[in-house]
Amino acid sequence: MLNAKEKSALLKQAPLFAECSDRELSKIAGVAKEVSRAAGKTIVHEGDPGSAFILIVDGTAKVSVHGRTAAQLGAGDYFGEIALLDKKPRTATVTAASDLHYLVLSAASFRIALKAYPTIGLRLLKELAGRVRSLERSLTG
Amino acid sequence: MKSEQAVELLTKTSLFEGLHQGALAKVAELANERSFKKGSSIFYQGDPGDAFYVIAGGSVKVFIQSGQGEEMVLVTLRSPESLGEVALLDESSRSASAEALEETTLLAFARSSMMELIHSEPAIADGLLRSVGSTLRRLTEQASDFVFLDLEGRVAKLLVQYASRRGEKSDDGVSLDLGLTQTDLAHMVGGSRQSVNQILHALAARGFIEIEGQSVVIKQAGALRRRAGVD
Repeated sequence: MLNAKEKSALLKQAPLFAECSDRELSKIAGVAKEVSRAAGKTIVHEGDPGSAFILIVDGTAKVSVHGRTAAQLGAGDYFGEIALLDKKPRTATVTAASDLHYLVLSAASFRIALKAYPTIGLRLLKELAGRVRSLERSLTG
Repeated sequence: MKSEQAVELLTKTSLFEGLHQGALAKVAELANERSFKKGSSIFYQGDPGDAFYVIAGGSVKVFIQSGQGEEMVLVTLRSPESLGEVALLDESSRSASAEALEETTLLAFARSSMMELIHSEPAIADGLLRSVGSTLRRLTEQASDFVFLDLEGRVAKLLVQYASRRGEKSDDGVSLDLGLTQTDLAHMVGGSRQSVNQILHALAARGFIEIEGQSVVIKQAGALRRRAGVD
């Protein structure tokens, strides 16, 4: 079981939360849940409505799209930051390749954190704006 | 534009979703109406990003220019969509240019007004997160399409995406008025005007689409989607 400080430290690794203050992170960590799943279990299904952000604490997971393996994720890896915001369907299936231990931040919990600390919203927006810029630059090659 | 019309427009804007009428009326008061003739610039890449816009009428293309002067059209937008959030949020310069594709009217909000709004109506931050998240999703997909799809695939995908955003179903098929010149279309998929023209005719020859000037009718949606790598 992770304590609040450990959860905060893990969350801070995700670029989405990189600009957040310790207090803001602590609030987010407070509403994030720890989950364990055995090897072979599906974590998310491609096409399902998905609105949780997931960060892997321990273990490995397989990402597949249309049945084909697309990537492997391990400790520190995460996905779903945008799903947290726009609740669009999952673009891939993620399965536990080994016993998996991860943090889940549901959209509902995230909104609780946002309401308590509206500044989280502004920080996220700034981070996302930066990502939009990088992607736009990459498109001009 | 009257205040009620402005409020009606803002009600439809996903950014302001969740605001009650009173708050929307206050937002409407902060807007300045601006008109643009076809082909005129709304803002240039590199300009200070000092305003945010909601499209009241007409349509806008958003594009970036490479160092070599090549143009890449990112997206076309129409009412009640919005543009200009990125520079506003990170207080930096415009990352792309925006131009009116036809006679266009916008509601402009100065940065100071937007910041004031975000602080007084937290629901707007939600709307902005959704909006920027959506932009990010679109760009990520576009970047990935350049890696995984060939030019014909990208043309097919653009048609499929426009069909789901703005297509009109009829007995004939799904009709799209792209509102884009073939040059702009070519700039959206990163191909030459000639190649894109050839591809559209090839897709028509295979019966996937029918071309009628700037309009396209999708006849075989399933086949087009498969070509686009979507199904």
